[in-house]
Amino acid sequence: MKVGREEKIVIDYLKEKKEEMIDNLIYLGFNKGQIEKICQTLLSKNLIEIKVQERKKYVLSEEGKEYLEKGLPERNVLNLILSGINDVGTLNLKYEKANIGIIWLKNKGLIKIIRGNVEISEEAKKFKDEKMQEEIFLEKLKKGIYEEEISEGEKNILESFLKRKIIEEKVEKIRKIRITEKGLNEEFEVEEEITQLTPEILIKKEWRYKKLKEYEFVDAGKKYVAKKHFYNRIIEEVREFLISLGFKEFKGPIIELNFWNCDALFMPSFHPARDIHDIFYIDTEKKGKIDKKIFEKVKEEHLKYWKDFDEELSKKIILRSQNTAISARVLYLISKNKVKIPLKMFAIDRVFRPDTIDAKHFIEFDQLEGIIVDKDLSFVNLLGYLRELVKIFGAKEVKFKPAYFPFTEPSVEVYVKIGNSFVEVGGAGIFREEVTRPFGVEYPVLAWGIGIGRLAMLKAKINDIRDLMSQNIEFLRNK
Amino acid sequence: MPTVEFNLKNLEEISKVERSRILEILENSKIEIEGIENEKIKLTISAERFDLMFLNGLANYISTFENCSGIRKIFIDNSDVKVYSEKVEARKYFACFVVENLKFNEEILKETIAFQELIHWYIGRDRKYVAIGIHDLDKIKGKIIYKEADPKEKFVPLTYQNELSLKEVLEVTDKGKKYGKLINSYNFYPAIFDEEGIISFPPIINSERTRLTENTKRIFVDITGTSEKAVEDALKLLVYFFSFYGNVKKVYLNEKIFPEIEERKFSLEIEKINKLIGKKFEAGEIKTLLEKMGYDVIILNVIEVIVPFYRLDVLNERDIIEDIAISYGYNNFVPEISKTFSRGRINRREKIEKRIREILIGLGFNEIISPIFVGKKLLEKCLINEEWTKLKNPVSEEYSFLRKSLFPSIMNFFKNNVEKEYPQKIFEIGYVVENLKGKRSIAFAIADSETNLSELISYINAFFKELNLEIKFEKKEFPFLIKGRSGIIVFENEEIGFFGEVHPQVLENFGIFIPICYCEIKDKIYSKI
Repeated sequence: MKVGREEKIVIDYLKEKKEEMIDNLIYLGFNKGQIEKICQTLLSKNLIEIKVQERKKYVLSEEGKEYLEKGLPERNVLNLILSGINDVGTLNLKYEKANIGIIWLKNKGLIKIIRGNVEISEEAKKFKDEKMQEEIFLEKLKKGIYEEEISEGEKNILESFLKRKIIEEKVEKIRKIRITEKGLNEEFEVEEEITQLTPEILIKKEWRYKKLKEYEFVDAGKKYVAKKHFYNRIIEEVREFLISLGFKEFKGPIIELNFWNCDALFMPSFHPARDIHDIFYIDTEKKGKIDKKIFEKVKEEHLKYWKDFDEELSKKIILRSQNTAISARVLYLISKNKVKIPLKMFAIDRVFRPDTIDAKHFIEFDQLEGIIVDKDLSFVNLLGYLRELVKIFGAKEVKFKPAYFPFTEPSVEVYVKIGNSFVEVGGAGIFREEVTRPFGVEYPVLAWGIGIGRLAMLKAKINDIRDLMSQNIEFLRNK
Repeated sequence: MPTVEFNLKNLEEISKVERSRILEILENSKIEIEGIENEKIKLTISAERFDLMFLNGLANYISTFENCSGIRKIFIDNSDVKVYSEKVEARKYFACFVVENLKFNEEILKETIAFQELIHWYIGRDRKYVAIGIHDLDKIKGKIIYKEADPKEKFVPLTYQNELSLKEVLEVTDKGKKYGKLINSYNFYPAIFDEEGIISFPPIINSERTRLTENTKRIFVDITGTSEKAVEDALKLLVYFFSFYGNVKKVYLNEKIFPEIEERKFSLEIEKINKLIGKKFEAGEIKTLLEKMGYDVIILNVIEVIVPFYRLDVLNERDIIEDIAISYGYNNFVPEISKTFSRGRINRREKIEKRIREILIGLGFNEIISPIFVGKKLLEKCLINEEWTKLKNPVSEEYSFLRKSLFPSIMNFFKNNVEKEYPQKIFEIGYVVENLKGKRSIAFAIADSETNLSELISYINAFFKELNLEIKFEKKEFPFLIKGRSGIIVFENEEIGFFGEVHPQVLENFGIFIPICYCEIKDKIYSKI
């Protein structure tokens, strides 16, 4: 029987081995696309059959990875006990997962708890220098372990790790090919075939007497479209929308001074309002320089109402925590006649805040903020602009709610109806006179901010803010 | 922002307003309803309205709104309690008052402690700016003196049986260990004495002797702090709070009657109000709207507004105007945009980056976004020893430095994708920090089994040709690139970027077994485009 050169390599191999995992054929020097093609051809000639088998694999969960790095609770507790701490209360104070560790040590019979005190067994002491079975097994799990690789002795630990959610079970599907009776009995020769036209073949006219190999339309390797990041795509859409409403885009520094980030916005040095914006401080002794005249005027406003102004704090170098700092700098540009009013401006840019990292919070994110400066602007105008701006969410119903921001009065929060509920999407207000007066701005300044992160998450249909900075190339390729 | 919890039934009983209406009023206030469960309503109240953070305060707000009743009158008589205060370096500001005819029960005692803790935390910033002590006045003997005390002086602290010196209190008690740092740098400590000794050691602990019980009928409240405003604010809030439970009375402080708490008066022009809000209200309407919000109003040719003393948030006219708008209901206005003319314009930097993005996508690179924060371990893997800009208060090791180059971010991305399909061609345009300045940087990289410098250089050339910039290459060494296979990009005699094949040691450190070519370009080129 005549087959192609590649098919012959595989079928000869199978005559010896009888059965093989498809993925292992790469060791014969083929790529994935080729392998699929060869298998399809052999299958169509009834020379092989393909079987799908399932294979269980155990991998570490997030918690498991943490234990691998920082030690199992029972190990950490045991170490604390061995260091001489023997009451449960102190153990819990020293180590947040002490209780978990205690339970497992107790189960293993290594310790006893008597009236809140830990009594340690002789056996436990040998684990001072020796690893526990659980620890040895945990290390084995580093790269995942297949079911068949687990010894009898380890099965108990496997069970308990599953219960403790230290590991997760994953099922991998493996495909195997097996040679058929026909394949075994047949003799094979290589048929001279042309798989790829080359200039040489054309010049030598070889195509006239050689067979042009038939092509099987199987997956021949993937190509991906290079893409703009989906988050930037959404941001660009928003930017165009704002420009269409007549807003000019401004930028400001990310390495900021407390002065522009807080003080110029009338956030007192000591007031709880500063709590709203916990701030990243740069580790430096350097202090920022601020226009003396403006600095004194801002200080005056603070002293008048807050009776306190911390000059040193004001000059500290920080990471910008809110883009209202850019608006404050624009007020300064207005005072220097470098920006003309009437003005509609906006900024979409990165801000940074220390926060507990979870699905809703990350320590850096983007804010969309802007101001409108003109004669005779009113609160009713602000509500009008907000109603326009939130159209970017594609929602029809808008609701306003009183709010508190240190730099605006009146202040308002905007909600839009998404699905069946109202979701907060932004905040706004008219800048306090304490904010505008130092810059000599006498017109009302309408200030607003829209949650661009939330908008992007809604538009991209993701639930975890960290996915906006996804580190997964497949995720980005598919977005 | 502070979160508080109240029993809805209590709120209904005290305010005499029915539930659905209560919820409606709260919905349109600076209060967020977090949830209602088993008759308990959980609220987030903005940090300026402490007067709403206890049951009676909130109930008063609700009933005032419903009945347009204006200011709730509080009469403060004199008592004959004599108090003296001396100069105390560690906590300069002092205030006090007494309350008589109290009807304490467990509930009220709990509420008092909760409110006290709110003030300690939010106004006092954990007792630093202000701290409060409350004592059973009937257990205090003779005149009261706030003064500096020697750390060796002794008293029995709350919940203790033995005498401890002030110094020992700082060393031994939990509160002492926690708050000692606020005063232990001073030679003398703040203390309040009566004729028998110390009754209070602010901001640490009270004495056992003057402890409150459910039978307490009269109390002495001391307020000490390092901020004049914080002490004043706490005083006003506490006077308001206790006015619901007994008769607040003044004392003789240094022979003068104290505290003199006065309501403030503001004059507002109707025209100014209407202009800022954007709606034509009549004087009478404004009066009613303000009375709902708990102000008293007298209409003259201007509108005279009397602001209750506990409204700490009212700084000036603007705050009163906001309350008019809230009282009217934000959702009752008809929104209308202004006719402000302004031409929209994209920022130049964004315009340039949009172009760069298009070029790199055209060359087949996929865009990524990564955090500006990097960790020491990541830098070590990149063989970068240089000290990059560091944070004073990082949230974790992983995020403790600000990147000066995009290189670690790009390598970290590749590390996270070793099991994904190759070739991987990625780019990032992002912030870096150099010499305490935020700058932009462009990086692109190829991870492919067959990539090499000549492929990379062909991309670099294509990139700059598209931007019409004529560049030159010069060899230069980088710790994380292969020596002799790396260099810098020069434009008009200035270094504007670098490139090369990533050093195998770096690849190994990241567990990557595929060659990577890397190029980074600085935002210096933005001014040339």
